[in-house]
Amino acid sequence: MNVPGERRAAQRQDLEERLRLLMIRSLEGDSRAYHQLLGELSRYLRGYFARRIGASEVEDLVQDTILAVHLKRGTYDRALPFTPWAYAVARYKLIDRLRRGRSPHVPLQDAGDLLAPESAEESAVSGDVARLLERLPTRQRKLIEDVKLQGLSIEEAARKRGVTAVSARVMLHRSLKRLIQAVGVEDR
Amino acid sequence: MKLDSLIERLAEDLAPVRPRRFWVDASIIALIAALELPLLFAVGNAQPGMRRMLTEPTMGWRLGSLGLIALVSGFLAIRSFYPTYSAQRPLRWLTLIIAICVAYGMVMAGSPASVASVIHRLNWPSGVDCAFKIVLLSIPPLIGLAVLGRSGAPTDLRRTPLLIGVAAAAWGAFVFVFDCPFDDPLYILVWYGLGCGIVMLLARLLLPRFVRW
Repeated sequence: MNVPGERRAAQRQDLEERLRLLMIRSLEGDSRAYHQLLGELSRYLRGYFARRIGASEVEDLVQDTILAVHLKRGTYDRALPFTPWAYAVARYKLIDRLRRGRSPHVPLQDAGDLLAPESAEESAVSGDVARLLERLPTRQRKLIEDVKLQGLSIEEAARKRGVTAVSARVMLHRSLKRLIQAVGVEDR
Repeated sequence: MKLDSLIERLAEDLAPVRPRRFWVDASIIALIAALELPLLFAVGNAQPGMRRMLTEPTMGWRLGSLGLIALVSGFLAIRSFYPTYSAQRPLRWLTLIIAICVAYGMVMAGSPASVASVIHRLNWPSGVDCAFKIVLLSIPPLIGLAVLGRSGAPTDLRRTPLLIGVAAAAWGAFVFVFDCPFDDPLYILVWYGLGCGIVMLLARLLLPRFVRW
């Protein structure tokens, strides 16, 4: 792994550890730690949601998620990392919101979320997604854009591109594999 | 309400919270489920000659299969009440277990000689009664699991209700084995399958709204 990658991983690790300790103190009733935790968490949540739904709904969703974190904090296992737990709650709230149809369209400009950066600092690399996609043959790139970015089903995308659903599935699988390999090569 | 004031209020109202424990949830469900057995015997519904029945070839299959399915699906259902748990892969293993149990029963049932013999073996008036009783016996664990699910934080509103349904149905059928006078595998596959299927369908349709948070 290269040096910036290592530094990023170490920063993420520090952040995780800090949030986890704040959560543990919160579960014990430390309201100052809780205030700090929710404040920090809301910043990350705002960034996470802003990349996924319309700006007008972000604040509502952040509040919903903060409330859910509060109500369901008993389901957090102190022995485990905090971030995956918070992410699972946030993701659930996002899916719930989308399912209720208040925000039926995921805006196309959120395309970078295919390889979603989870913090403001990492958002600088989101532009790389477009560059990575350019490595794919046009047909494969279009298919990825249809399915992963525009949210079409594989069947719909296959019809649009004039291929069978099975070929579309295979093509998609291969394209994703190729992207993953490309990311791996760049990281080394 | 603004986010800052929401955080302010939540922090002010904060009270220490005891972490939810898997084994506490599991013990509550095990207790509810286990209580059904002595109740069945107490109301005199259990079949006479239980010692002889236990030696019947289908008894081991019935108790073993249903007990295993109830145990595995109950375990997975309770695990799925935690937000980070994904039941997607374990559910495939559960499906495989169910398929093996059903296949074993089908081998035991053999191929019927004629349609008339199938109708005779199915004995549908008793079969409908069996399916109905299985549904009734599934209700206590179903309610118990649903209430625990509601107090937890399940994030998969398709699989969690299904797992609750499978666990409750399998347990209902397990208890019903002691009340069932029939031991024909074909009869058991069809009518137990119907009873369990109804419970699973009800759970899948009704519980997502209930466990949503």
